[in-house]
Amino acid sequence: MTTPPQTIGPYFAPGLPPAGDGPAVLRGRVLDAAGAGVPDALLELWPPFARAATSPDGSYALPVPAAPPPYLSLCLHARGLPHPLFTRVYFTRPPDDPLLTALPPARRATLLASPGHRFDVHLGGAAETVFLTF
Amino acid sequence: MALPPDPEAAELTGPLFGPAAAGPLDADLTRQHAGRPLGEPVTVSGRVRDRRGRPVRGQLVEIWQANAAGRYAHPADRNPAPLDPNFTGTGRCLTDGEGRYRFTTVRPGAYPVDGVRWRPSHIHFSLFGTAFAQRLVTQMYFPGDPLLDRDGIHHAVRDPAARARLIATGDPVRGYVWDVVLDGPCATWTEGSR
Ligand SMILES: [Fe+2]
Repeated sequence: MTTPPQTIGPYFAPGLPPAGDGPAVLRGRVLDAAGAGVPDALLELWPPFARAATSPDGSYALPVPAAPPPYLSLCLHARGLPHPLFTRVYFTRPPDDPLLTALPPARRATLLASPGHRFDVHLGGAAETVFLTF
Repeated sequence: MALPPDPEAAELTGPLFGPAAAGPLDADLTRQHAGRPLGEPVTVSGRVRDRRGRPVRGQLVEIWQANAAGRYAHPADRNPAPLDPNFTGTGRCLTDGEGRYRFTTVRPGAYPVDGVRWRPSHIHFSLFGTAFAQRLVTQMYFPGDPLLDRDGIHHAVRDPAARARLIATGDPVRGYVWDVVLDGPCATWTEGSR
């Protein structure tokens, strides 16, 4: 009897709770299956909580801790998506991590941030990011 | 692909925003400017629970909506309907000790999505549970709205019973009531979206 999700639509008004701050910045782009940037997507990171919307070219910037945990959870909402997508941004590769261990190498690579704290989210296509359902 | 249980997963915890995230005036969208907004004043209230029926206490509820003419105070909205200088259309509050939220606003207008179709009156809701995996963004509708039958976004929820749970009860005089039940997190988690 749960309440179903609906798309966030194009008119979400960010700036709602404080955007969060952090000494480092995670940057990247949200891309559709054809490789085009996805504008007005909302990305939320946890922990700590931070949120940011994408620019018209699909790029985003999110504050992260200087020494982040091995991974942060990333929740993505976008116009046209009927529900949010969850993925993870790994900054290191803990050898015993249950998710990374379970994934084949090519899929695992979609969850690893590059050394300059860059992380692109691919909503589809050959390089589609691993998404998680809880 | 099913994944092994991970009690340490970050998604099983979530942010708690605290009183600084929502002041008392943030829940009254009719008092955010010098004058009163145009349109029919309404209250929308309800309870937020998890799927075991437990109240979700002290959590952030955010709303955004069009004004009474069907126009969002958002730069991306190209609808020629007029802006209302006394209405921004965004609100937030924290649920109380019983999981209750309450907003005072005006009933949003329907708006055209192209030359033919219209969105029924709706309020966008964003909710946080105790776990990040419970994050919910959805839309609340008003009972008896004739535009609901032909709305593609409302019908994106295929199950009629689930779709009905997006429609509030009540009326403008008694106020609208809309309860929310957050899904997840499950004991098992999987790779792949729903
Ligand atoms: Fe809308």
